[in-house]
Amino acid sequence: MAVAELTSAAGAIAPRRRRVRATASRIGGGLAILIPILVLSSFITYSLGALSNSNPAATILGQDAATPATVARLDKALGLDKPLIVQYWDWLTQAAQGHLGTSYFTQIPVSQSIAQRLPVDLSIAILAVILAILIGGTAGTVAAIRRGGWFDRGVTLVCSAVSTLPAFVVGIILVVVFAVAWRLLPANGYVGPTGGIFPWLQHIILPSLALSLQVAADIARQLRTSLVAVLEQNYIVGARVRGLPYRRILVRHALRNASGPALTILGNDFPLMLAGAVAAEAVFSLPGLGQLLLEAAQTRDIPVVQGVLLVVSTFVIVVNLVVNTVLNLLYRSSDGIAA
Amino acid sequence: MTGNPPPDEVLGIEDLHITVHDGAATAIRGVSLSVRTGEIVGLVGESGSGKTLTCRAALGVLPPGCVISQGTISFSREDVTDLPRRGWERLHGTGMGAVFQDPASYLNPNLTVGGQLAEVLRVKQQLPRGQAHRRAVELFTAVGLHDPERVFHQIPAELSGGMLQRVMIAIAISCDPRLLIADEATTALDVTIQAEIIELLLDLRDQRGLAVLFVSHDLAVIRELCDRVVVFYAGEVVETGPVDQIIERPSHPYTQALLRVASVGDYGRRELQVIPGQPPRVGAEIAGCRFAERCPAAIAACQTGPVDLIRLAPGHQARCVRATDPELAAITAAAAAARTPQTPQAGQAGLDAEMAAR
Repeated sequence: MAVAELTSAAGAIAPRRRRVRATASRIGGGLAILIPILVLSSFITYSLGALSNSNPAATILGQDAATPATVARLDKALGLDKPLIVQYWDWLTQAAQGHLGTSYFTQIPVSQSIAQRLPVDLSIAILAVILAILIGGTAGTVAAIRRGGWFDRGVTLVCSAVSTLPAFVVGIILVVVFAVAWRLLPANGYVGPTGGIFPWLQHIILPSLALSLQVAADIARQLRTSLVAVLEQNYIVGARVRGLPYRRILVRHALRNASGPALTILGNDFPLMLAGAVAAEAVFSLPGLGQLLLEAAQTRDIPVVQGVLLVVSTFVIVVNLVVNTVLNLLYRSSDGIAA
Repeated sequence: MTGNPPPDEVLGIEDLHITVHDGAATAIRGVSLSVRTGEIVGLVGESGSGKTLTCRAALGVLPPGCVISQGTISFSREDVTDLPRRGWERLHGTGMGAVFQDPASYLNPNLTVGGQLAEVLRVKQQLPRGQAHRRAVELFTAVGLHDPERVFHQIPAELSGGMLQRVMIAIAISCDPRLLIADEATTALDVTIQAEIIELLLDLRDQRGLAVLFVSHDLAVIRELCDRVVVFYAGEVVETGPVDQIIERPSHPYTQALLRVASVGDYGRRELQVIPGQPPRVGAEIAGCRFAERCPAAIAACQTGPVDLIRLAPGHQARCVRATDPELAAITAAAAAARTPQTPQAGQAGLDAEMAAR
């Protein structure tokens, strides 16, 4: 339907306006799909919590105080006596306004705990993505340009080795080398950016690096493959005979067209990075969402678990939306599929 | 082609040898040719005869594994055989432009065609963005694109082959080069578009004094467009001369066969003609004439040693030991006539060979 409209309108609208309109409608479509996905994923996480066969009231009251009467009273107070779908609806309408309930144990609002810890993970994740793109992008590009050379073979070797190492192992190695042996960086803890940019970077650089290496290896391998293919395309020869400088051809024509698969990988790896963040937080003793989630899961603090999962899944979905939008902007010739 | 090049020579190729597959085989052997200002020189020959490789060498963009092993290439009498990358970057666009058979593949599929032309103007002529846009639209108009402002914002997939070839020509001439290399630039286009592109190239030559090296296997196109022709066979120049002389009095049996196949200038003859046999494989070492095996007029002298280009008339040379033999044309014509009443099998085989050659 939408395609038919586009092609029939093609004669009437100028190409640029049409393309801008098509991009806008794709982004709009992505946003529109964001909400049902969020509702569905939050319903699944909510149901998992509610159906986990835990008895929140009994847990909260403790073994001694948990008589059937007190449990029933607390269930009523918490709304746990209502049908699941009603409970979910109440939680969802609250969540939409930013209220994620309160912890069963600490009585601290869940949104407050998350707001405290989210900056830690955001700092690490953003820096890790930047590092992965820098390290993986550079390695992949140089390997593709010098394919068959010693650097190319070295990259292939290192990538294979790194992808077998989980983030926490890399983290431990980094701590041993940079914090213990060379005493260059702090081994653990977190200082927010308000405490100074440099101390902040000092504390997040090692966990970010630990998280980024696996993704960097994936990016390097993917980018090398697609860049080698793009560099053999006729339009690279075309750009050369137009007399464009080599660097410009590499960046604007080759890398731009070759970056799609690597970007897709980055989008796919993002949830993996979040999973790695939980382990990295443990290695570097960072007060992040991962620790919050782990503690909450162990104590069956269901509102906290649900709140954290909602925030995390929102991030994953938003990152995927961003990646798809960038792909659409890069590949105007096809619908987001690498050419 | 020996001695001093003429002062208005734009492209000069002298005794060019190119090896392929990292030196495993020699694909181009001793090719010499020259293009002067305002001159259109045609390169003809079968697929694999080395036309495209010669163009790529002249453009300084040989495919990986291909190396100039001997000979020189000069541009405006400056030796560019071993020009470093930066030298080529300076020369490309402002000195020489190029157009290819499949224009869509030579344009970035994800950028607008106008953007790609404006990019060249901004980089090569330091035009600011707005001026580059205006100049690009002017150039699109000059190459005969309708609604150039609209074409500017379209990506290659949205344009037809003829329009893309015009875009390619606009890009190639955008920085006023002295030489245009057109490698099978009209081959994939239908006849009316082909005629329009030829008209455009002739206009460009007349208005700007553009020199053109025009590769084609279509002798009808060559005849309409070119001043001189260079005939390639198996990596060698077998005949070269003014277009009228080559078409009217071809002196090499291969050129004669090629003309017979194309039936240029004789519309009465419509039977399918093919040149029997296959060209030698790339890199084959042959002591004598490389065409001797397929030649109806071959004699013992053809096989003994390398055959030199023989000067027949001013600017007309042929690489054939019998080039001056008055009976040569009659012998090849008789051989062709003997094959003409074709049996159905022969006709089918000829058709297959023709299809394979395409």
